[in-house]
Amino acid sequence: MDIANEKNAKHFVSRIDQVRRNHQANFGHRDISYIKKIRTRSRSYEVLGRSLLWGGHGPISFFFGVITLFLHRNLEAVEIGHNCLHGQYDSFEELPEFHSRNFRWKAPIDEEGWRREHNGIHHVQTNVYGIDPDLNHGFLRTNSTLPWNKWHYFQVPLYLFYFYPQIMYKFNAQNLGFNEGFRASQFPDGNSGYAQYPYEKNPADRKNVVSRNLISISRILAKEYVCFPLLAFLTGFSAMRVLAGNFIVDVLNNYWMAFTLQSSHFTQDLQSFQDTKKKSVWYKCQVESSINFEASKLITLMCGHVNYQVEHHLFPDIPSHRYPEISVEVKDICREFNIKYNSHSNWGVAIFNYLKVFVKYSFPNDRRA
Amino acid sequence: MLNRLISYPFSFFSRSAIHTLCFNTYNVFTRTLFPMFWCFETQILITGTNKSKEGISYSFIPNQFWDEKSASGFIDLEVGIEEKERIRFEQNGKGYYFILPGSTDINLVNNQICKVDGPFQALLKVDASTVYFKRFNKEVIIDNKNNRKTILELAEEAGINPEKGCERGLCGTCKMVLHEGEVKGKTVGVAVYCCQSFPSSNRVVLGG
Repeated sequence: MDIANEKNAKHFVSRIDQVRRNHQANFGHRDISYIKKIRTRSRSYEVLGRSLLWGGHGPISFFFGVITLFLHRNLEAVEIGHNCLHGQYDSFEELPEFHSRNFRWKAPIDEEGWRREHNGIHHVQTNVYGIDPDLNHGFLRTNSTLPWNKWHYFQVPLYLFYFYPQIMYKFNAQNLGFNEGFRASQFPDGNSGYAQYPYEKNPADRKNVVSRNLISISRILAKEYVCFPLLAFLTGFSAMRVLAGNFIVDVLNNYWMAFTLQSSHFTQDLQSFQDTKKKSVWYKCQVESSINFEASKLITLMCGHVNYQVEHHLFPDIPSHRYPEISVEVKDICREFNIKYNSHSNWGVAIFNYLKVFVKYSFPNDRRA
Repeated sequence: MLNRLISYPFSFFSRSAIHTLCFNTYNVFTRTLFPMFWCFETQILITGTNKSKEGISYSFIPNQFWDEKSASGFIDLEVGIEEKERIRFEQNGKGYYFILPGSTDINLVNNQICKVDGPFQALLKVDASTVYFKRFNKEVIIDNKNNRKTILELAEEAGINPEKGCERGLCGTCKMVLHEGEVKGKTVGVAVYCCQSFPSSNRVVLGG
């Protein structure tokens, strides 16, 4: 069935809405216990990881300390943080600490800025040129429409070796609108083709976002690089070991986040501006702008179920642990209505594919043959 | 005798028919001239009446926003406090009905409900006087000018720059948590999709 036909489009919308309604009607104990379980697990990893780094001796305890602390940071960043800030647990009165507006992210990212940019813009205007900031993540060129300049020659090494190790520390620059100044001063075409934010226009807002940026970044830096090394030092253990462990965990976590987020987007067809009044078009755009990749249960959990990107974009505020079941239904619906459901067989393929896009658009359009 | 002669032609038009006419006129009048009242009017379609030993029961089809608490607001307006004490809402397989125990006549307060054979509509008005946005410590007073606005629009009116996205209840960006009061529209648990919801009680307190 083709959704260009109005009758089919209505049927398509009702099928997708039905999936949403079915799951929302089942919200309850299962979701509450899931998020509590994940938080408990994350805390145990933190206690274990920090103890091994703090009190352990030798490379083996260091290695396991790094691994467990990485698991904690990662669970907090994506499975808990990303999903809670989407409002996936807002419906439950029992979980006020997981409500999107109350949640404090254990990541150097300003929560409100992220919610506005990610939930309000990226998830609504996905893959829309000049509006979706995740098409660029700073100054990336991922399509032929964006004006090319000499900076783009270096986008692959710059991102892989400079931005990725600290990508979460750079999120505020995108969410709070600090990238505009750099692009305006360095790029011949300025901000043309890049998403821009209204925060810059009001000086009071500007002051506010600068302080929010500093607070969100310094809380993580203080915890990871001052507080725990200092505690180790004061208790007679090695501050350097804790500092080094935390640093490695931070870098690993940043790389993991970068690969997770970027491998599930950059489908090469840009979308036109999304009028959300036309639900059928919006749903179709969300499916076509996202890429799933198959992964084991552990990797899925560590990716915050973002490997079910299609389902995440269709139902961003349904608890993520439901995505595997939803994906079965969504696949059937897409098959029935001839909508392309992007899916890679594994994460490696997904990463390789998007890196190809990075390389391809590093060069000006006329030279890329 | 003279009295009877004078009153006879009027009694020919039964009480219910006159009141049906009045009621419908009122209904049409409010709809066309005061459309801003609409969003706070829950319409209940009365489909029939039935006399029994218990009293008179009115069956009705609830609309999507119907609930028992709203219905007590309906009784406040249409019946008056004395009768309200005695009213029971029931539900059977076919639908909802309410019973006025012992009533033999339908000359209710204000005569706005009347006994008719065919279906007619009754209006429920729910006052929603204030919406308080706890996180921003800002309050909006609802009046005739803004009572058709969604909670998201009311937040904007209060000078808040609310978080918003699709404004269709799809992305969940504008969700706030309901702390106090009632809202009509799209809600899941305590989460309110502000872009798709309207306040429906005297005081609504929203967190976030």
